[in-house]
Amino acid sequence: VGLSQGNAQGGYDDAGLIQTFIAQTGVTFPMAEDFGQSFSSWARPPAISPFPLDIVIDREGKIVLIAYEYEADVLRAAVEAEL
Amino acid sequence: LFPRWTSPSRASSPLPYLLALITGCGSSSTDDGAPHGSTSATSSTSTDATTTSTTSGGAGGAGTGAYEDNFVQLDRWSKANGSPVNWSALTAELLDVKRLDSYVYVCTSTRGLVVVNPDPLRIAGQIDPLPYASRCQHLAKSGDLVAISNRSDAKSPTPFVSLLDLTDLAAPVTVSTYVSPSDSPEDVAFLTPDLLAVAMHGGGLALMALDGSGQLAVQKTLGGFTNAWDLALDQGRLYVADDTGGVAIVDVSTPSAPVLLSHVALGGSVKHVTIGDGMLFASAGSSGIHVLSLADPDHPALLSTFDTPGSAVMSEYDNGHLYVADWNEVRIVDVGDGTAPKLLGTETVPSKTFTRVLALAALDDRAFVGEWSALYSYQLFPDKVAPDIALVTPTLLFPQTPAGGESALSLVVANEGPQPLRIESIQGTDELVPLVDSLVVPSGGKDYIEVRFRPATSGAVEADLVLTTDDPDETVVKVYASGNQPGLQVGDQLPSWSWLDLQSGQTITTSGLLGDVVVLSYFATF
Repeated sequence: VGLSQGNAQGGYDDAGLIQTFIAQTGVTFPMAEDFGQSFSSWARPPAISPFPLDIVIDREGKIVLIAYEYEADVLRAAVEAEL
Repeated sequence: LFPRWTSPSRASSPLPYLLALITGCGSSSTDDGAPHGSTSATSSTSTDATTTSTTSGGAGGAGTGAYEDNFVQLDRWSKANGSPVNWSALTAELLDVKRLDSYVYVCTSTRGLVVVNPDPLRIAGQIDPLPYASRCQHLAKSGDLVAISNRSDAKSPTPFVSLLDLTDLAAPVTVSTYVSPSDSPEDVAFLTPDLLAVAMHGGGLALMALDGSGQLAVQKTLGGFTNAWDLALDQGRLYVADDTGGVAIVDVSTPSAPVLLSHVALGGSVKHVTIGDGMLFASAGSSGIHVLSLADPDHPALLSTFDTPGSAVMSEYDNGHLYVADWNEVRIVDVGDGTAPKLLGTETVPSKTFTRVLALAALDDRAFVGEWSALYSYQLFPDKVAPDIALVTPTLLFPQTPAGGESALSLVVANEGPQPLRIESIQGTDELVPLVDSLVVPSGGKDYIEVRFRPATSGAVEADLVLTTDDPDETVVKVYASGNQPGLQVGDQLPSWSWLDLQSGQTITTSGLLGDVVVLSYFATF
């Protein structure tokens, strides 16, 4: 699920911009605007970038990875470990 | 900022992390039984981290400080070095860098188009604001004309292509601007001095020219593309980075009548193409770089693919070397004949915040690197050899750990240089305790430093682990560490949330996701 924070929540995007982004990138997975319900809930060290932020959730709804930087191999391994 | 999805086409590698929450402090051995680090190896606690580790004992043989780095920073340009122009070093976000004629042209996110003298780096001119915003996504130049583009995003919602006359850098003139809310112009390339090709994402390829009234207008469009991102022109052929469609080849020998010839299927999402010495280099994000031969320009043939640790955003070829903007570092590759590219060097570019390399240019072994907040120039010395430290785990983020308890992470360190890397000291704090105090990593190898987090209280902690090394340009490496930050942690249950899926119109609930493995990826459209 791709999640972007809305303007009113301190982010940048609204639904129209996200729709444009979907068209520009061609992504097919679910994409949504986060209205503050989740983005600020994650443990977040202050000295790192707000993006990327990737979370892997297992089948029981438990958080198994929080990735704060681009680490494709780590993300892939975490997903594959759950499949 | 695009969500950076992994590509199934790239081979996976083992999880390089060690993460063990310890309250009683257990112990175990490494998978190969080899010692890691020079001290305290017997007390280390390990899970699967050693799957990527190498034995460090006995490596080396060269004296400390005996090497010279092969990619040397010459200059840095930002607000600090005397520019009178309106520039915020923290928000500029350099998006496109081109070395053309006697200048370096820089597209920025919030400060328009900047023209820079290369040596030393000093501003020669700036066009800000641009006709519809200060955001310049891509640029192309023909004579004194510069075309710039901007796709729609949060920071600049109006998509446009603008033609500027830079005959007088002190007094630039906007010739004409094309605006169409329904379009998403990305890269631009002059097919002739009067005819501009524009990659339009799902809209394919547009040809633009000034019409009879002097307005920039679409003259022709060409379909058949998956998602046109980037353009490279070579000998009557226009090569189009076409996302998951690979690379498209367009015959533009008659520029006003382009013909889509074919596609070359490649792995990943191709968003940039560049050409040099009869080869095409396609940057495909997490799938790395594809190298293709243009011996038959209508049927490019794949020579090789090499991966990068980050996301290969774009690249530029010069003098036998490919410079790769790899999201958070620069990588320099000796291309050779294209069949077996060899890593020549890497460089983590300094940053005021978190380093990002989204664009660069290269000419005559000189590279101009667009970091998030500044423009740097570097000189490549291909024959110099040195160790080259790379942090596989760039930060140490410890989980919630009670006061008086302990948790452990491993800092995975790679040596991407041709000489052994000596980490001569490893210094922590009372609460951040490395279990080794030195390390030698052989050329091309990896090893790890186990670090314990022993908080005195339950409050949030930030500290640096400081490494001193014989990497000539990274003699001191500070690794950011943090622990006990408030908020959701690994091991917690996902709360009850819901969102509206803008793709399907359906509501997504976290309870509805149970039973599936899910990735939540936060992004912003800029």
